[in-house]
Amino acid sequence: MTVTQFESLLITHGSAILGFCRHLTGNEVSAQDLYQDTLLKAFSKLARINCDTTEEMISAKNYLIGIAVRLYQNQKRRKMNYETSFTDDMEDMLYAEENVIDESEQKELYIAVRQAVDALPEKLRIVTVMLYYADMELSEIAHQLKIPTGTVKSRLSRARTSIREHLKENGYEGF
Amino acid sequence: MKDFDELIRESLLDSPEMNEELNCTMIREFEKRTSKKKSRRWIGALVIPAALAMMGAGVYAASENGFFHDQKDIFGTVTGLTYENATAEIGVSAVYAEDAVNVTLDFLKADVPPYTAIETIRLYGKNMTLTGASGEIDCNGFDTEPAEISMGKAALVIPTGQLPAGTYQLKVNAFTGEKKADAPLDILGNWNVEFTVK
Repeated sequence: MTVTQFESLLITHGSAILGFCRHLTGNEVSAQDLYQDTLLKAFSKLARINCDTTEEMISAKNYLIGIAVRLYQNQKRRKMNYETSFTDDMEDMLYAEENVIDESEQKELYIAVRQAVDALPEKLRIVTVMLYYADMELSEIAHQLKIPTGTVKSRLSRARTSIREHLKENGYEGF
Repeated sequence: MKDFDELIRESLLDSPEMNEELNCTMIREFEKRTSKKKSRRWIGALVIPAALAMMGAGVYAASENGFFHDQKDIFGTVTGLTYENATAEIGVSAVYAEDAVNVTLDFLKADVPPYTAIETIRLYGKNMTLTGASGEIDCNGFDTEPAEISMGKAALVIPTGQLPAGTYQLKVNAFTGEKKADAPLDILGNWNVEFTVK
């Protein structure tokens, strides 16, 4: 990968990778730290791969997301950067968003879903964000997390059930 | 009713404001690192010490320093590489907490190979013995997850489960260094640490 290709990778997918980091960590500062650590970690590998096509660009993005997950898990294991499941920053962000859209019912539902996702156990939350936010294939999630595809499916199933229950508890029936 | 999967996808959608300065820093750093010679690569980091080891492993073995050693099969074909005599290069301490033995590794020569060329390190049950008052405990299955090496340190968690109260001796004869896309490297030595379960 050339410097120009690396720049284009950041322009095309940097925002998505940073957003993914934010979903993992729950706040902007930690997300930027994780984003930076992820890129630094990946330099040597990125320098050795081609990134000419859209597919190769997506593959590089998925690789970076895999690294972000592993770094995040390592950091949590070392208890160096532990975050509560739903931080004040995220809450502020959601309520700020809520005010802007004038408390529409749809946005309230989105907020409830995001709260439900954020409240998921880490293993379920990671696969959920990889599928729904990072738009990764099940097989790619399995590859990046080094787990069988069946495990990804079962974690997603448990995540969906948990999100449905959360919504039901908050008055959103029929999902 | 909106499709449930689509609802989750739309709920998670956002476009965080990109920190352009951060991206510029990353691009400059990428340019700086990729313009350097390939000596930073794993294989490059190993070739010279491995060659030295082949020339005089005996001399190195007698010293305090670790050394690389080729693994050969009965036909003399090189089948792998290990790093040996590393006892004095890695400090090991252990404490028991939350049904696991937490082992801290302190890399005393973190700025030289092989430690500069590994990203994570782990410990397999087959490479340790754990002895308590009632005798040796079977360590099969006590494999740790890979731990990232950061600032010359790494933290391993041995999932022993609950242990009876008492004093235990942990003996380790090899840690395994790993780097993505490269073969694992066994780092051999003789580490003995003691910990207490209350």
